[in-house]
Amino acid sequence: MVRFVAARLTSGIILVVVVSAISFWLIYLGSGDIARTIVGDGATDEQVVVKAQELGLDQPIAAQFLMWSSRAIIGDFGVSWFTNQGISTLITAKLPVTLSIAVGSSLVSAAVGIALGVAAALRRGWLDRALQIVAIVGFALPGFWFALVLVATLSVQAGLFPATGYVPLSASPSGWLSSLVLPVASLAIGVTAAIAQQVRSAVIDVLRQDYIRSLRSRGLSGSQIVFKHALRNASPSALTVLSLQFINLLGGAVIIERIFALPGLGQMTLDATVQGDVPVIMAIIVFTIVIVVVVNLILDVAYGWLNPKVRIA
Amino acid sequence: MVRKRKTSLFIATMAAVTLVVTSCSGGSESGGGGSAAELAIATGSQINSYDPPDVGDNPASQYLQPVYDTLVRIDEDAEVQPRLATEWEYDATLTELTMTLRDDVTFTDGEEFDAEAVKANLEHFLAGTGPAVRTVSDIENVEVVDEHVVRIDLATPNPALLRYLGLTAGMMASPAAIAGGDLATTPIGSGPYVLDTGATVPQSRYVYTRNEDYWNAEAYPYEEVALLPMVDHTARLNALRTGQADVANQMTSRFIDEAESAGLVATIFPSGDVMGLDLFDRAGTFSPGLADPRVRQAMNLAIDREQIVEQLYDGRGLPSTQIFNPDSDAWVDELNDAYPYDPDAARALLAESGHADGVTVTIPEYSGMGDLLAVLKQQLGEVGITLEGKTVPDAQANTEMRSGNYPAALIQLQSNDPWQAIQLMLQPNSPWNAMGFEDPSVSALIDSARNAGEGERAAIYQELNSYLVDEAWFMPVLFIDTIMISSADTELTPYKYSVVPPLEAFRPKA
Repeated sequence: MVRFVAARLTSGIILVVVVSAISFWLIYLGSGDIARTIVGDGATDEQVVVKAQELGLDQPIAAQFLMWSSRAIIGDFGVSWFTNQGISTLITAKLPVTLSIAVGSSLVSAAVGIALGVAAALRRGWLDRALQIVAIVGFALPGFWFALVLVATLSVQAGLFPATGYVPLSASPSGWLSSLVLPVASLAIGVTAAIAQQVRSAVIDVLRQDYIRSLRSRGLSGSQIVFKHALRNASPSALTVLSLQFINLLGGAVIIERIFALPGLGQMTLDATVQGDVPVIMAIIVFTIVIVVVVNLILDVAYGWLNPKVRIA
Repeated sequence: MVRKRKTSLFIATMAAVTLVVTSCSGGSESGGGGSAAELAIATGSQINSYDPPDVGDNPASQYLQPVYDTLVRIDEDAEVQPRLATEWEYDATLTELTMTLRDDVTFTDGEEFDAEAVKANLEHFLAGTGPAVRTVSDIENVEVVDEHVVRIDLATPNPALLRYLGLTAGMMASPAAIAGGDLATTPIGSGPYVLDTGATVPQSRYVYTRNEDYWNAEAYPYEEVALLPMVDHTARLNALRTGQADVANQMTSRFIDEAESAGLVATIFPSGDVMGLDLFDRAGTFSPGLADPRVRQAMNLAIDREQIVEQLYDGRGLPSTQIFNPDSDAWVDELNDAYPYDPDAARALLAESGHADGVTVTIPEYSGMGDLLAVLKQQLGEVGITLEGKTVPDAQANTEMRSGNYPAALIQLQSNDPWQAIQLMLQPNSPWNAMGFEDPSVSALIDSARNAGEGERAAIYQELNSYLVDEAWFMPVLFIDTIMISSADTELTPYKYSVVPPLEAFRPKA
């Protein structure tokens, strides 16, 4: 187990290095005259040159990357070129928002998706067909469409949830929850559909197996069969879908953050990318990779715990 | 059996959680609306720095207004009124402006407001690189005449200087804060409010609380002002509808019906954003046809301004052949009839100028342009003028347009005081005269306007305007209306020339 985790972490670190280098190069290629955009409309040419030197923009790209990575390794991500705010502070402030949405959506969609998938697999018949249709619709319609519908009905019309804004957990747990309900719901619908589909087919498959018949003939109750055996064997596919979707959720939160005016990483990433705020973009890339590696590691360990057959000794 | 009990337990738990969550939230989380407690404004602009030289005279300055007083106040008719300066007077050459200052104002860090402070602020501003700095670059010296008397010396007269001293250039920060170098993150002024750094969440909610010692408290009835940056128009309207905000600014005509049926108030007023083609290449370097006024006139005749305003802007705009603000001294009603929609006349002019086989004009194209570009391409194409768009990334759009590498650009610019428009578009080194085009008649008229007394300027501006329209220096399309939506219990006074009215424009309805 320890070796497994260590191997995963090592490959995660290599991933961070490789992706950072490639991204750095891509941003460099795409951004045009950043120094001029930073100093603004009123600057003279000399002021632009001075700014470029100050930021190291006149150096070759490999040198710039080395400068950045030597500081990033010790956790110093620098300051935003455009707003002069410390990046670590910015990210620590915004990360909880994006994570709340992404993790919240994952948990909700896992719970609901598994429940729906199991229900469809067990009951079959009209319920199964109805759930299939609902799942396809949920999967096909984009998250922001759900967001707009939910906001218009549950917030503006019915006043049940706030339309915009994020309440930090430390300020008010119930406020935090209620500011998250609509964003999480909008994102979770699509992921729930995907998970429900996977779980449904996997459970149907498992229930058809011979060993299930023998378990039943040995007198195990229905729910014991489902929860102790069938789900365990069906979980790998659900977890795979979930880990893939989590990455989507991290990114897809951008539009949701816009619609609900949530101060998350999404808008900051968008602005930084459009403007060419290199330190911010690089920091976000590093953080995102780390989060994805950790989440996938957790899911893989859960995978192994649920299903001894795939455990790595 | 086990399954059924577990299911009902699950449902019961979910129901309980839902009840708790919804009962603790409801609609508004702020005390906004109706009371004098808080004014919450959902705005489309963001702020990066609280240091005045970094900020333009555009919507972003609303983040600085609560904290800083300006030297003078611009009222709702764009007239200059006293604020920190009580009296002022130009000398005969219009190059020395002497201002008498209030003697009872202190900054919130305890520093005195006096002539030294004005000098420190203006010098700090002139050393900056933001978009508003060039508007007052005529200032060459600031002289402390007396403790509360300051004299501003100009290299050449600046007809709009007093207006600029009511905007970002005139914002007065504590000299100690300037020296401390921290103004970008910690603004210290003498204004009606102070920034509440504890309650402020950057990029989410900016909170300003009342400055208890403010010398003109009656003008600002709200205890607290909150600015909520929201990039999305729908989010701003939703915040307004659920009571989280009292005002949503920078809205579009698309939202008016929905807002009014929800009991909100839409305020529509012309603030002075002109949209159209800026024809930089009047010397014909990239596009030889543009050197001939007849070609530029043909462009003006080829487009149907009325139809564009009706269909693309729901009628919320004023068709215009002029670049000067309709409410300004430079506007001439008759000039708007100079170019009716007449494609035949356009084609005739093109033939007469020897360009019957067409003229091509390349402009930078970026995603924020909307449908207007498509319509212009089509209408100009019908008379033989090809408007080609070259795609540029959004963030580079401004830089590209002003780079001098294109014969023209589709612009949306503030045009309020005629001198401001001249500085922005007509002088050889103006940012929006991208190829530095000069014309002796225009230069002469600009010089006379610069040196003219207040009473004589209007006639000169109008003469300049007529010349520009006759020679078709530009292809303006319309002046866009500004749309703000507010709650029924907030009173909003539109301010001439302001896309975003100052704080004084808002009061709770009595």
